[in-house]
Amino acid sequence: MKVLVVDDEALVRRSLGRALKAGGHEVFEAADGAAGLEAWRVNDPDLVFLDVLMPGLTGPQVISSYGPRRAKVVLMSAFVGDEAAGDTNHDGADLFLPKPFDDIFVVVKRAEELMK
Amino acid sequence: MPALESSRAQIRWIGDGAPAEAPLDAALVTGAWPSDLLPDADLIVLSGSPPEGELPFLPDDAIPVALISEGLDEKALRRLLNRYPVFRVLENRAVPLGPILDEAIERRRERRERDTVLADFSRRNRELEGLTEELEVAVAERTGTLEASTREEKEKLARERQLIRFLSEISMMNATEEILRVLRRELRRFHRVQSLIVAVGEAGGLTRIHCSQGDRVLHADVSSDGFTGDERSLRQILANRFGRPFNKLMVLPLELHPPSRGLVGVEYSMLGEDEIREISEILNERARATGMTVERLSLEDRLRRFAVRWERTFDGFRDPIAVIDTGMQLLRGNRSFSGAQPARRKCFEIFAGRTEPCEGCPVAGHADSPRDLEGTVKVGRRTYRLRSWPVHEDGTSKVSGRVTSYDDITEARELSLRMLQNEKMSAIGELAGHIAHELNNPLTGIRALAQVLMKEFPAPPLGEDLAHIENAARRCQTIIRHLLEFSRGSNGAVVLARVDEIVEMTLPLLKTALRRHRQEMLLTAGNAKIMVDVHLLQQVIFNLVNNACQAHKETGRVGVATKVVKEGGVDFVELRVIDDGPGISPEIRDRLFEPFVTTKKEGEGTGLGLSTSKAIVERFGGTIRCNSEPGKGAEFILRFPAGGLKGGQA
Repeated sequence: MKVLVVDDEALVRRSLGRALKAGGHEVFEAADGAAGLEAWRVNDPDLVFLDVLMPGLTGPQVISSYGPRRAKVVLMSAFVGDEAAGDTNHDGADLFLPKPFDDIFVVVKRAEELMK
Repeated sequence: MPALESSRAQIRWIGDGAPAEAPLDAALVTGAWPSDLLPDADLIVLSGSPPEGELPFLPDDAIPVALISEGLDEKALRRLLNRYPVFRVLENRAVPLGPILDEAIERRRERRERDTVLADFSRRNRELEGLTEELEVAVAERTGTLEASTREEKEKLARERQLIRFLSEISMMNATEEILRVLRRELRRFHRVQSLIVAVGEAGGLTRIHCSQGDRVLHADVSSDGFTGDERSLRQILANRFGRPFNKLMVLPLELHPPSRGLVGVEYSMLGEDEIREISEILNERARATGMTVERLSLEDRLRRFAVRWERTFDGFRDPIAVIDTGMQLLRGNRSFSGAQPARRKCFEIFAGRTEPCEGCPVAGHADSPRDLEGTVKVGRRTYRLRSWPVHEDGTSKVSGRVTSYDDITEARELSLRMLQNEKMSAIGELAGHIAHELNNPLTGIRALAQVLMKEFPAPPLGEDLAHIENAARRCQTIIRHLLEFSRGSNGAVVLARVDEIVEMTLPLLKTALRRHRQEMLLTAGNAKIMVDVHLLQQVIFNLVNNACQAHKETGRVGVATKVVKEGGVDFVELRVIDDGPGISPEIRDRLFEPFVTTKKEGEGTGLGLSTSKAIVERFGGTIRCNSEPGKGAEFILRFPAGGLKGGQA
C-alpha cells in the first residue's frame, strides 16, 4: 500500500520509511505539515503517519485541513498525557501511537492491522 | 511828762502833818492811818509813827509808797520798811512831792506794764500748756492708733504668712486628702467646725466627695447630675452617703475649668457672726489655690491613666517597637522588643544580643537620616522586616531619634521562598519536559533505524553492533521517561508499592552524581510494600542520595539499604541512605529538618529538600531521622509501616 510519513525528524522518516519498505509498501515522505498536506493530495496514500507537533501546521491541523478522507491516519507524538490523547480523539485520527517507539516493526504491524 | 489816766493823779498823805509842797495838778488827800486798808492812790506818803498793832493792809503792792523818815525811830522805820514796798524814803516833809509823784507814777506804769507782760506771759504759757496737752492727747491717740494698726499689721502679716505657707504646701500636694488635711489645720482654732468637705466632679459624670472627719478622710462618689451644690441638697447627699445627719454647711464654690465643678464646705453647729466672717475670709483666700490644685491633681490623674493606657497599648503590640536616639541607644521599647530589660543599651544589644548593629540594618550609620528607612534583619531563627521613622525635635527639622517597628516575616518569607522554590522546580520541570520531548524524537529515530538495520543485517558483527546501538538508545529513552515522570510532578495517587522497586527506579537519575563515588546498595526489603505516592517518595530518595553524594567533596562511599524490621509486633520497612563524608555538627543536626537550613552557601541549593522530605515521609505515616557526628559521616533512616498506614494491614 501507499504510505505517507509526515514528521519533522529526519531519522523518524528514514527509519519508519525503511521499515515500511521492508514490509513491501510504497513510502512517501514530507518534512512538515504543509508539505504533508500537499503530498497527501498529490499521492493519495492509503495510510498517513502524522507527527502531532510540527512547525507550521500540526498533525491535527493537517487532518482537519484535508477534510473528508479515504486514508487511515496514525498520529504519533512524543507528548503523552491526557490532553494529548483527548485532542487526538477529537481530531479524528484512527490510531494514536506514542513516541518513543519500542519496536518499529510493531508500529508497522499495527498500522497494517488498521488497514484490514 | 508820763501820761496819766484821764483823771488827776492822786496823792494820799497818811499820818501826821502835811507836805510842804504839793504838785498843782495832783489831788492831795491827807488823813490818819486807816485801820484795815490803805487806800489806792497814785502815791502814798507815810508820815509819822505808825500806829501800834496790826498795820493796815496795802491792797496792791503796785501802789508806790514813799516814807518820811523824820521823826521815826529805827524800830518804826524798820517796821514800816518790812511791811510795805517803800520805794523812797524822804528826809522830811519839805521834800517837794512833784518829782516823787512823777517817779511814783512812772513806777506804777512800769509796774503795770510789767504786770501786763507777766500776765500776757502767763496767759501765753497757759495757752502753750494747753496746746501741749492737746498735742500730747493727739500723740497719745495717734500712738494708740499706730499701736493698734501695728497689731493689726502683725496679725495681717501672720495671716499672710500662713496663707503663703498654705499656698506653697498645696502646690506640692499629691492627693485631695492632703488638701483637706491642710484646710482642716487652717481652721483648727475654730473648735465648732465639725468637718470639712471638698467635692470635685465633671458635669455629666461623677462627683467625688471627700469629707474630713477627725483624723480620717472619707470618700463617696455621686452622680454629678444629682449633685446641685445648694446647701440643702448637699446636706441630704452627704447624710445619705456618709450615714449620719449633717449640720449647717458653709459652702464656697471652687473656680474650676468647665466641665469640672467643685466646692469646698465647712460643717458647723454654731458659729458667731465674726467667726463665720473669718472662716469665710480664710476659705476665700484659699479658694483659688485649692481650685487650681484640685484641677492639677485631676489632670495628673488623667495623665497617669492615659500614660498607663498608652503603655499598655504600646506593650500590647505584638510586633516589637523600639524608640531609639540617634546613637541607636534604646529610649523605650515595648514588651515584645525588650521585655523587662532596662534601657540604656543599644537596640541591637537588647533585641539581638549582638555587640554590633545587625547585618542588613538600615538604621546603622543613618540613624539621623530624615528619611524613612527599611531593611531586613535576621535575629536567631526569625527574620524581621524593619521600618524606621525619624522623630523630629519640636518644631525643627533636626532628627532627635527614631521609632523602629519590626515585622516578623519569618513564616511569610519561608512561604514565599517555598513558593519561589516551587516555581523554580516547576520551571525546571518544564524545561526538563521540553528537553525530554526534544530528545525523544531523535532517540526514537535512532532506535527504530537500528531495529530496521538489524533486520536487514542480522549477521555479526554488524548485527551485534546494531543491537548495542539499539540498546543504548533504549536506555536513553528509559532515562528520559524517568526524568519526565520525575519532573512532571506527582499525580497524587497513593498506592501500595515495593520500596526496592522505587529505589531502583530512582537511582538511574542519580547516575552522574553517584559516578564519582563508591555506590553500595543493599536492598533486602524484597516484596515488602508501603502505601505511598511513588513519585513523592522518589523525590525524597533522590534528595537524600544527592545530599550524600554532595557531602563528599572528592570521593567517598554512598550507600542505600532497605530492610524489613519488626518493632512492637509491627512490621516496618526501613530505608537508609549512608555516606562517609565529614558528618554534621550537632547544632545543624538538631535543626536539619527545618526549612531553609543549609550547610551550602547562599545561592547553592536551597535547603528545602530535607524539610519537604520529612513532610512527605510523615504524610505517609513514616519517620525520618538522622544520625551523624562530625568526622563520622551521616546516616538518614526512613521508616514506613509495612503494607500501609496501619502497619501490617495490606
